[in-house]
Amino acid sequence: MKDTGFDYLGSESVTDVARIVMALMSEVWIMRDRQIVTEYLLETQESVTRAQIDNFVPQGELAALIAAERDRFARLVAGAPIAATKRSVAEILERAGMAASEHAA
Amino acid sequence: MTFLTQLEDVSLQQQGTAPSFALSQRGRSGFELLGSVQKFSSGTLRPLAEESFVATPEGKALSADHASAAPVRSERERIAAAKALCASDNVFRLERFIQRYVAEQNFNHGIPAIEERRAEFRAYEAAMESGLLGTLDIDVDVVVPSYYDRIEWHLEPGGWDGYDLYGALFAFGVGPYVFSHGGYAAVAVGDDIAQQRLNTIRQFPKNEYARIYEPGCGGVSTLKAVHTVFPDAALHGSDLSPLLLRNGQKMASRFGFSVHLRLADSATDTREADESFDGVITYALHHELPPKANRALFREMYRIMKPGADIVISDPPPFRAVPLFHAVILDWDTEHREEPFFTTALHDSLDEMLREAGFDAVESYSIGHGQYPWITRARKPLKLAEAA
Repeated sequence: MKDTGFDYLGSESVTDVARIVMALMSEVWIMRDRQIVTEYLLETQESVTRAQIDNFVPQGELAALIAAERDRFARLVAGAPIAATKRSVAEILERAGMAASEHAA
Repeated sequence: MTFLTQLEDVSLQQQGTAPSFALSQRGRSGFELLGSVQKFSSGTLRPLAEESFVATPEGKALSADHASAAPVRSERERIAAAKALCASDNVFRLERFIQRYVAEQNFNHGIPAIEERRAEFRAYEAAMESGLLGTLDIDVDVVVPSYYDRIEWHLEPGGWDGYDLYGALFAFGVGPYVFSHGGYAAVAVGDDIAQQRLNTIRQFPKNEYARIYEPGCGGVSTLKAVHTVFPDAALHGSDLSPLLLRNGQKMASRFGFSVHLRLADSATDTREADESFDGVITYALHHELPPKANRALFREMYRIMKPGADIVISDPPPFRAVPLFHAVILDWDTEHREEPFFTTALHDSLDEMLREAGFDAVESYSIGHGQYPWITRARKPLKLAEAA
């Protein structure tokens, strides 16, 4: 077996690694949400300030769109381990937030 | 003991008393992700883990024994064996890890999210300090029981009084963004905890109550539900947390109803008169007390209740009332969500405790998914002779 170098963390640290992954997941989502909010504000007004983004609270259709995107993000990231075994076309489409087509098994 | 968690209540907005500021984009979106992740964990991963558990021959046999009227193994043995079996499943471990992570992050993310808006929250709270309704009696020396003093309930840093803006954290963060999805502790995914409180209050058997008492009333979420169902009832409550009581009076005033709150250890001395209440409600309280304190509390409730008065209790279901996999999920809270008495309470019987204290007409039943809310209710006999 190829030497992969010194095992600094050890297998008992896998929970620590998972915490790091979850923290990154949170940071990525916060940026993704900020991007959606920024795009929305730019579509509805000519310019946007940092304070407007910080204080903006999505409502109505935009809030529903963000919630759907957020749930899809959570399914894909936190559900990555089960994607190794739950691999039917219907399951893959469901995780992606898409309805199963007539071609799904 | 619970915080008021529905400040975004539509009735507040109608009254124009909802706050005019919000969490920052970072604070809001981080909380929202915790809600989505918890929903995925409880709604997708947990059913997969349960499916795997009952599909194994050992899981099937243990579940059958648990459901049997004459089980071979003791309740503790069944749960211990089921826990070991569950722990061998990757999906179960992932689901539990996410539950723990969200419970930690409610505070790790939540405290900075609230702190960013400290000035606004302090001003909002200060505005609530005028025109308070009811009474608040907290300038007394109360001996805090040792079991209470050392616990950071639900992983809350410093305990109930550990951060001055915990009320805001629950009302503007954890409540609307995380708890609102259900899927934590005994609450089933998708359940509405505000509606569960109302449904619980409706278990009082009479149509009217003049005076209702709640031990461990926290931030008055349950007394608010009592006020909705019995708007003419005088509401009294006690708690060991001065912060929760202060917030409780402010919030009740904001919603336009009076509460009479006291700092007290309701297991030892409520400082209320003998036979002075027509009803007692407890909500999510008994699993946070050691067995001796629960028994003492029921004796104290019996003392302050009038003959013929009713007591209604909502607490997580006992292990005997739920499928074995569900018992493992509930049992997990003891070691992983700072709930030191959870397992002990769920092995015990509130029904028996009530009978020991002198109550009669004791009954228990479920009014929701996953056997939650689990209701236990009883009556103080009209005459002592009737209890014999």
